[in-house]
Order: sequence, then structure tokens, then C-alpha cells
Amino acid sequence: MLPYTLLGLLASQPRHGYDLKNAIEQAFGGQREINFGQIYTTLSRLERDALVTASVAEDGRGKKTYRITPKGRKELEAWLNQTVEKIETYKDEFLVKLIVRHLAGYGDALEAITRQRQAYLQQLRDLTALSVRKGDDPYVSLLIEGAMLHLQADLHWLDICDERLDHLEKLS
Amino acid sequence: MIDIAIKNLGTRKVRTFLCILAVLAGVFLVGVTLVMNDWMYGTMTAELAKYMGKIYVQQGESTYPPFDSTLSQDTATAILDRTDLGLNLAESAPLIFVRTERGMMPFIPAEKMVIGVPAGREAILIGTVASNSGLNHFAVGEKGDVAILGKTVAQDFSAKVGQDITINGTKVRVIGILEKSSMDSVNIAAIMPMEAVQRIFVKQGQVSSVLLTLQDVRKTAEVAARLEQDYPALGIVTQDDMLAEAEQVMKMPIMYMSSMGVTGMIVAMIVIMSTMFMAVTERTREFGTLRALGARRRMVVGTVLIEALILALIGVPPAMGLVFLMSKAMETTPPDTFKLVQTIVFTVVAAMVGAAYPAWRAARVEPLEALRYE
Amino acid sequence: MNTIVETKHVCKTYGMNGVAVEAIRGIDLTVNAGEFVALVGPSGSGKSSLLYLIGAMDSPTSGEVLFEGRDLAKLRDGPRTDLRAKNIGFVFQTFNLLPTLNAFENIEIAMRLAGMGRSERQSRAAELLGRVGLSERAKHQPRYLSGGERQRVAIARALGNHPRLLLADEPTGNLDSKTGTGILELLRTICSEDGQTVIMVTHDFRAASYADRVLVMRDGRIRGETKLQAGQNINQAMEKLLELELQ
Repeated sequence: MLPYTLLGLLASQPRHGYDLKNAIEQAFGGQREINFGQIYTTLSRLERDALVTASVAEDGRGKKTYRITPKGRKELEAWLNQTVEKIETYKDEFLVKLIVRHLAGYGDALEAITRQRQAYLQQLRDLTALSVRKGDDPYVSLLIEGAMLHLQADLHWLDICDERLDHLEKLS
Repeated sequence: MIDIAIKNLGTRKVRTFLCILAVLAGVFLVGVTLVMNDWMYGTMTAELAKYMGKIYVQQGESTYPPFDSTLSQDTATAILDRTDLGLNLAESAPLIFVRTERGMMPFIPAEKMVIGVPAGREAILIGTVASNSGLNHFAVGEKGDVAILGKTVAQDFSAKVGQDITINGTKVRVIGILEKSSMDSVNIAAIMPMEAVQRIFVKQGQVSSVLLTLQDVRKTAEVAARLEQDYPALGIVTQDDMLAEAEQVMKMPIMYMSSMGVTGMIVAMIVIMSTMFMAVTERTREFGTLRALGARRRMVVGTVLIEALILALIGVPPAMGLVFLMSKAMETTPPDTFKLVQTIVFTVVAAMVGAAYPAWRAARVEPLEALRYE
Repeated sequence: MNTIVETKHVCKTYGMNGVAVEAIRGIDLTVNAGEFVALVGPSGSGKSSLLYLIGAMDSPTSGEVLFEGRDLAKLRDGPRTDLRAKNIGFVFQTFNLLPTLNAFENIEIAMRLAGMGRSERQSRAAELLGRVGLSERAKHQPRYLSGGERQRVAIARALGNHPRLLLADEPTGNLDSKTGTGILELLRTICSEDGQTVIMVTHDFRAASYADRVLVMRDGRIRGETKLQAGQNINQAMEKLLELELQ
């Protein structure tokens, strides 16, 4: 999503590479240090695809100014307006582990579920403490909130696993 | 706990107010019953007290006064002439009673009557009641159309001494007006010479009864028995007989009054039961919470009972105030301390009986009620 | 370790309209002083029933409930009520404040029921009101308080008698998530700072994550137990989250 983030920043005004780095760090609550290399790699690709243009300033100091192109703008708008499909988040490694456990004949799923539950609960607790500390920035708090909700859903799903597998075990 | 009870009652002001009103009405009825029954008995006993030791000889065992009894004057004289009865002649005489206006209540025989007494024996009826004209007796041997009026009769006729009033179409001169007597039979009577009454009402040679006063009061029963033997056709009425008959007559009104009082109590009881039942049902969760917090059952029950008591007792002072006013207006005996205590007891009983079922329901509330989530 | 309550194979069956419902099927549980325990599970899992048994509000069908060594099952209603009054504080989902009393008086009543004297309970009520941050609302009746404020009063009420146990039945169930978080923070604080033993029933994992021990219940049994640490590695957690967003 970095390409689009850069396009978005350039859509409001042309910027230098260094400004882009700062802007991104600001947007994410000043938490994350972005790698310059990442940014420049992405910018090159965007240039290659004619979504942005780079120009060198007159003072000749070598600082490139990046601008978004009309094609770039169209690309950005298309991405912004496209709705997101949630397929990726249905990927669950733990479910795979449960299946494999069964295939391998190792049994004792309940034990695994309990430990996984512990992990999720601990994460939830950490995030709660986080939200208390970082709750001021609206986007950061949204991020944390979203994560917590997903964790809650996963915990409920664990309960269902517990129930269904228990039921299965009783039948066999 | 009382402060909490008062707060609880205060939250449902309208309901509390209506309940108090209904209880007030019930208490009022109870108070009225007690007062009226008391008054009836009191009036009657006061009336009959003066007949202690006296015997009326009349025809039939009819009511007092013996309006429907007719005795020949000769028989009367014969009895009065007997020397073996131990009669106090100064206080014994034949009498004639004529009712001129019927009584309004079942236990009041007459509203107005005329009593004929031999001149010179007026004291038998009037006793020591004073007259405003200084005249409370007839001239000796008086046979004229004169009358001494009792207070009530005088008021009804708006009569003054020296005026003439009309009795049964005849002009009668008022020669005296009596003060108000404790004996109502005097208040409502126009007392005239025997001869005049016999003449005016065309009952010559007749009397209604013979009033006998004994020298020895203790011999009343004995003399009465002898008279009954001697005159089997006549009625011999003693104070005891009169008392018995009066009680008979009063049975109905007393029962009527009492049923009113009982109804009053039942009304109070039902209203309290209804109000407290609603309160308990609404506050199930609250009671459950109290139990969960550690209140014993008896505390919860106590709250219900105290609220019922407050509701009931608040109505007592105004109700008794009304009873007091009513008794003043109707000129019956006002309630005394004992009546107040009686009323309070009845009220408390009604309140507790009414609150019993709601209190039982309250006792059954479990702490788990606090957790019931609707 | 000071054991406050211990259950030994406790069972509870309710007879509802002639049908027997096994709410609890043999639970062994120990709670020690100063712990914050959460009972999580769906409705019908028996978690609330277990709470009532621990809270001496009800008697088990079989098994023992030992409150500081005393078997609650053996107590009759009177002594059980007294024990409840003095040793257990309860916080309800529906707050259950007495509507005719103001906040101060609501806190007082619990102490009054336990037999505390007037001046002592009034000073403690004032203290607790301050502890939950509602000193200016002392004279308000429940209907003038918000949901969160009512629950705070309820918590203050529960703490009046220095209870050995504070029991909370879905304390955030009727509150929005922000207010609910405030309540959970309060519970966490009185546990961490004052050493109050707390047992909380909830269906919400987020609320459960505030506890030190989370017991998952289903069908009247405990399915598993989880011990949690206080929030650590917070910055790492933040890092991981942000990483995801930037890919």
C-alpha cells in the first residue's frame, strides 16, 4: 500500500523525497521509522509507470521534486474508490495447525486451543494498555480498535472450534 | 427504616394519597359507628334511669310511652287506693300520653307528645327541671286549657309564656316553658292537666297508664309480680322490662351501624392490601437487591408493614376530626380518648391484615431476583 | 497464599417449569486474595450461576463452596445473608441502585445492613464516593446519573464493608464501550492498588482481558484457564500493527 500512500501525499502537493518520509511517519502517529530505501524504490517504480514525475530543482543541489501525473491521479482515485474485499483476513494459520494436528494424529486440540487463547488474550490486554496510552490520535486509535475487534472475533471463533471439535471427539 | 419507608411512599404520591383517602373514609366509618352506638346506648340509659323503681301499669306490654294503651280511670284509681303495695302516693299518678308527631328514627318513639297529669302531680314528670316563668306546676285542681311546654316543643311552636298555641284544634295557653332537660321525654312534651287532655282528645274516663313509685325501691320486682297476678289482663312494666324492650328496638340500628363500621374496616384493609401488593410487585428487583446486599427477610417484610402502618395511621387524626365535627353538628356525644384508642386499634388491625399477604410475598423474594434481566 | 473461596465439585441444578436444568456440572475453583478473575462464556454456560453460588446468594445442589473455610452450603438463610452483608460486595449488570435514595445514601445502605454505625458509614461513604470520582454527585438520585456514574456508585456501594470478595456480573453489559472501559479500569485499579479480590463474569473477551486469570466456561464446566500478564511490550505491539499497514 506504500505506492498509494505516496501517490496520496503527492496529490495534495509536490514534495521532496525527504518530506515524503516525514509525512508518512507523521501520518502513523510518529511511531514508525520508514526506510528511505523503501521509499525510493517505490518512487522509482511509480516513475517507471508514469504515475509520477521527478524533476531536479534549479538551484542544482540535486534534490528531486516529485509530482503526480494525471495518470497517477486517476490511478489513485480508482484505488480510493474501490471497495475492499476481506478475503485476505480469512487466512488463519491456527486453523491450518488444527487440521494438520488432526492429520498427524496428534490429538489434544483443546490444549492447543487453550494456549492460542492465552496468546490472543494477552495480545488483547497489551492492546488495551496501548489504547489507553495512544488513544489521542484518531487514526491510531482506529487502528488499535480494529485490531482488538479482530482479536475478539478470533477468540469467539476459538470457542466455536472448542465446541465443535469437542462434539466430534465425543462422537468418535 | 422508617425514613426509607417514608421515601418510598413519597415516590408514588398519587397512589399514596388515594390510599390514605380511602383508609381515612374507612376509619371515619369506624369512628362514626363507635360514636353513634355509644350515643344511642347513652341516651337510652339516661332516659330509662329515671324509671328505676317505678312501675307502669298499662294495657298490653306495648312500647314506652304507652301511646296505644287504654286503661279505665276507675281501674287506675283502684290500684292507687291499694295499701298493700307500699306506694309512694306523692309520686304515683295516672297518666295519659297522646302522640302528636311520630318519631323519625326507629328507636325514637315520638317527636312530640302531650302528657296529661293530675294537677298537683306535675313533679312526677317534670322533676326538678326549672321553668323560665317560674311556673312549673298547675294551680291546684286546675282544669283549664293550659300547658307547660318542654324546651324542644316550645322551640317548634316558637311559643312564649302567655301565648296561645293550638293543640288538636283547641287553643291552649302556655303558662311555662321548661329548661332543656336531660330527659328527652320532657323536652318533647306539652304537659297539661289530665282533665284537659281527656277533654281535648275525647278520651274521657280513660288513662294510658298508672305510674307507681314504691317507697322501697328494692321491692319493685316483688310488687310487679303481685300486680301481674292480680291483673293478668294488664301489662306491668318495670324499668327492666323497658330496658329489655329498648335493647330489642335498638338491635336493628346498632347492627346497621356496626355493619357500616365493619365495612369501613374492610375497605381500609382491601385498599391497603391492593396498594401494598402493587408496591411489592413493582419493587421485586429492589427487594432482591436488598437481600443480595445482605438484608434479612424480616427487614424486607418490616418495610412493607411499616409503610402500611404509616398509610393507615396518617388518616386517623383527620378522620377522627371529622367524626368530632359530625358529632357536634348532630348533637351526639363526641368521641373521647377511649374511642380514639379503639379506632386506632381497629385501624392497625385492618392495616396489618391487609398488609399480610403483600408482606408474605415480599418475604419470598430471593436475592436472585436482583439479577433477573428483562 | 490466602484462599478466599474454594469450590469442590460444586453442582447446581435448577428446576424450571418441571424441567431440570443442570447449570453447573462439577466445578473446582480456587480464588486467592488479591486476584482478579474473569469467568467468560456464552449465555447458558453457567458462569452467572457460579457467581451466585460463590456470592452466597444461592445454595449448591451438591458439592462444597468454602468461603474462607466455611461451607456455605451448610448455612441457613439467616447466617448466609449476614455473611453476604459483611463479606461480599456485588455489582450488577443493571446497576440496581435504590431509586428513592441518592448516591450517598445508596452507598450507605449496604453498610447499614451490615450493622455499621452512623458516623463510621457516613465517612466511609464520602471516602468511597471520592475514590470513584463522584463526590459532586453525592446528592443526586440514580435517575439523574448516567449509566457509567451509576455503576461507579454501585462499585462504591460494594466496597463499603471492606468485602473479602467483589463480585461483578457483566458490569459493562449496559454501558457503551468507552464508559465500560472506564469501569474496567476502575476495577483493575482497586484490585492492583487496594488489593481487592475481584471475580467478574462477562461474555466480552475485551473485558476479560483486564483480569489476571481468565476461566472459560461452557455447558456448566470450565474448559480452560489462562493467566495473563500486565500489558508489556506495548511499543512492540504498536510496531507490529503499523508494519502491517505499510506493506
